[in-house]
Amino acid sequence: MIFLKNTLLFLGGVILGAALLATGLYYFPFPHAARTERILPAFEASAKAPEIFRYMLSDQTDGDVISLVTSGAPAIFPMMPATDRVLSEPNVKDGLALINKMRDDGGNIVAIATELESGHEGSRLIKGKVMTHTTWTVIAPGRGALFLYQEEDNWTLFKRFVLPGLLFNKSWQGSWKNLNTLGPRPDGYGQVIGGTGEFAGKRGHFIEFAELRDFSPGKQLAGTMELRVVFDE
Amino acid sequence: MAKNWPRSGYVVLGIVVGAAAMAAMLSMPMVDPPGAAPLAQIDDSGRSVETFRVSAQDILAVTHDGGGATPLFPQAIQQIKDPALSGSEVVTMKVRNAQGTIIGVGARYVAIGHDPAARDTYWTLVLTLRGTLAAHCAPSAPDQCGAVVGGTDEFAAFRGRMMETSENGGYRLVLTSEGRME
Repeated sequence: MIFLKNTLLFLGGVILGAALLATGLYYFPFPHAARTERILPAFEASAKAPEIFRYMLSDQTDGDVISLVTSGAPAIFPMMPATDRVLSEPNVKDGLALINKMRDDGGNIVAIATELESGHEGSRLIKGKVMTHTTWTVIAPGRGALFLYQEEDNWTLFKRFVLPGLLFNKSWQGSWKNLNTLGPRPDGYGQVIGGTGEFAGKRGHFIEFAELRDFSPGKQLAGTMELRVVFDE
Repeated sequence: MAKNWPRSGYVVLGIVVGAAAMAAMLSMPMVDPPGAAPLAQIDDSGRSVETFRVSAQDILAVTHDGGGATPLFPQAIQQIKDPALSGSEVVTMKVRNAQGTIIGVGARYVAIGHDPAARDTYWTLVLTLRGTLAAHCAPSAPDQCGAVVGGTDEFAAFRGRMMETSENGGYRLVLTSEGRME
């Protein structure tokens, strides 16, 4: 009887310890999670006239998102359009393939783009990092192609929206602004890795900035995504 | 000895064990792709040559303005109707190495280039744990067709070309380095 009581006390402690650590991690102020407040003002101060490529996130089949394919697991972001051809193999299961139209700062459609992602080996929940290697290709007819690379972190998106959605089927509406980029440059920016046409030979940096307005499990995210590109003089 | 422990001792021990177990679990890599080593060979000229393949079943999406050579896929995909994007075509896909293992994702683009009378072709490959590779072919510069115009990691300093061939509803891509490999 005493043995049983002590075992139950021990098991209760195990559950409490695990819950305490998970809760602590959820609220821990990782420095990189505050980069929107830290890095975005620095970018805006230094970037005199960034070139903007913007698209609207929505589930409209005639919107800016043309195609979205992931592994399908967790099934919180549906494929667009629905497809059973997904990224299920070991080397691509943490990846993403997006096709979208891009608008300029005035809202005019000026380019077609892809976002191709592979899972980042540095992703660790204990470090508050849910990362991808992300490559943007922006094709502006008549101007040329621009190839951009960044390391992206979605820790805050994961803990604040995806996790409650997965665990409690919780939706959210509001305005949440976030700098998705987390390098690879030491200043926290992504980098221009190549170009053709008028972008040929250009070097520079960029950020991916998002405003989320609606997160509902089983539906596409709604909001705005922007690439702000600065070319070296 | 354990018999003499106060009850709180078992709780504290449990808390320590539970926190340690949770920390160990959360320290595990969230992403653990196996990756695939390069399968490049050296040709008679000393250049590195690597082949990638895309089968018809590896195509994830195809969109264009209705004038593309490949049918739209999936059937419900949005067609590109915007005048500014006229003549554009984008295909996303999984990419295999020469042994048939899926090693990354890629995209092929066709769009009006610098010459408004011609359409350029572009490729982007994102190979897991290896890096990104971007290539370009302009009809106006056939001697430069397939030139690698950008890359990261393994391909950051790569100079060479990637040539495409249609193959059974998919593609065969041959990446060849410029100059002799040491």
